[in-house]
Amino acid sequence: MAITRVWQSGAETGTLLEFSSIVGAPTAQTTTKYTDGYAYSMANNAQNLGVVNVTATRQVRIGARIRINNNITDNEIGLIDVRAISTQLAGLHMKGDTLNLIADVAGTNQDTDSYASDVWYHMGVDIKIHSSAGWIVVYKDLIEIMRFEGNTGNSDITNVTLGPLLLASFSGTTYMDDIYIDDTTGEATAAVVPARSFQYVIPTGNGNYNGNWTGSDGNSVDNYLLVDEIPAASADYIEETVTDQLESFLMDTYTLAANEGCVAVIPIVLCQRTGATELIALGTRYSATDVIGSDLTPPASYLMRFERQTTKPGGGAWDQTAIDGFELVMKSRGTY
Amino acid sequence: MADVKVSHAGAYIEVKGESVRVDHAGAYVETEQKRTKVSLAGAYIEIEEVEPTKRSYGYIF
Repeated sequence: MAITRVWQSGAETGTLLEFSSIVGAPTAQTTTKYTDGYAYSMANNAQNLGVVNVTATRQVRIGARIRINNNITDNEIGLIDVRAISTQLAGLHMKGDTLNLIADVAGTNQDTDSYASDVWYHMGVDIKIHSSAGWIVVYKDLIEIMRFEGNTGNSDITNVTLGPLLLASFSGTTYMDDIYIDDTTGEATAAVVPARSFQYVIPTGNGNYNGNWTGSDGNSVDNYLLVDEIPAASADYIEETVTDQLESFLMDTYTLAANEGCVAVIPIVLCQRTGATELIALGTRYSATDVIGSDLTPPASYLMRFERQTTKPGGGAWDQTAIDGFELVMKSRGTY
Repeated sequence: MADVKVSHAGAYIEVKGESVRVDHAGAYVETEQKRTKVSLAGAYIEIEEVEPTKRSYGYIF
């Protein structure tokens, strides 16, 4: 079975708009980060979560860079939890300087491992919800550290919470960066959750399709300047009132390190629709070839929508030349 | 005589703007470190069994 990307974030829009919703007051901040410009910060003395809604599933894997300045005397918090609406099903918790493995709705601790304060770790959690043949396996820096197999419940996962799900008071701060969630339905066993980084590039110029959408400045000139701010600001924007109108931008470059390989290029937009039938499609253009994905539904207020492409237009894996040369393409879809 | 007067007539057409708006656009380049892992290192020394040299001994008196 194919492993399908559900969501990812490097926090690089500098906002919380990549989450489906938030609880409390997590922040996107620049001081403590793993890669690029931003990471999420969640103070642990309150319930501060990013919530990602997922299409109902029983099987996911979650990868994230996590750093916590914890205290050995602290109480238990959730770090990564899968839930059925608001009911916690399973997850990775922390108590003091100990990681806890939670495998059922009762919150029973099934396994433990150590965790050093103020150190970035890559944490991977592979979960299958099943009343008899389920599992939750946790990997720290790509090494398996905790495992439970058996009854993990009998409910669909509908959302994932990232950040301190407060079970009792906790004094530290949780930082998260380079987070992703994959649907792993059909995978026969748990497997190491790969460590992925999400480097961000923004528009730097007019693309092949420019001047079609209208800017909040009242014209269609240099539209890329209205969608390139970090943190993203809703004061300026571009919009379209006719279907099938293309707009594209030249993008900044990213130089792969000697030991990096490009897994995918993921165009994202923070978008909204003013009615009920407008849609948007995203893609890339490279070597005069467009690859535009399926129609996406913008929300009523600004949130992220994305299109993940693991091959470049024309075929083949993304390489340095393609990363430096692609355009982000957006297309108005739906009815108006 | 009773009458009704109309000094102005008009009609509101209630409209709703329908558009899709993009406030921010960007792209993530998803990367993965290329790793080569070695969990064990060793070496085979390939040897071949050699039959003991057959020697014959003679004695000269």
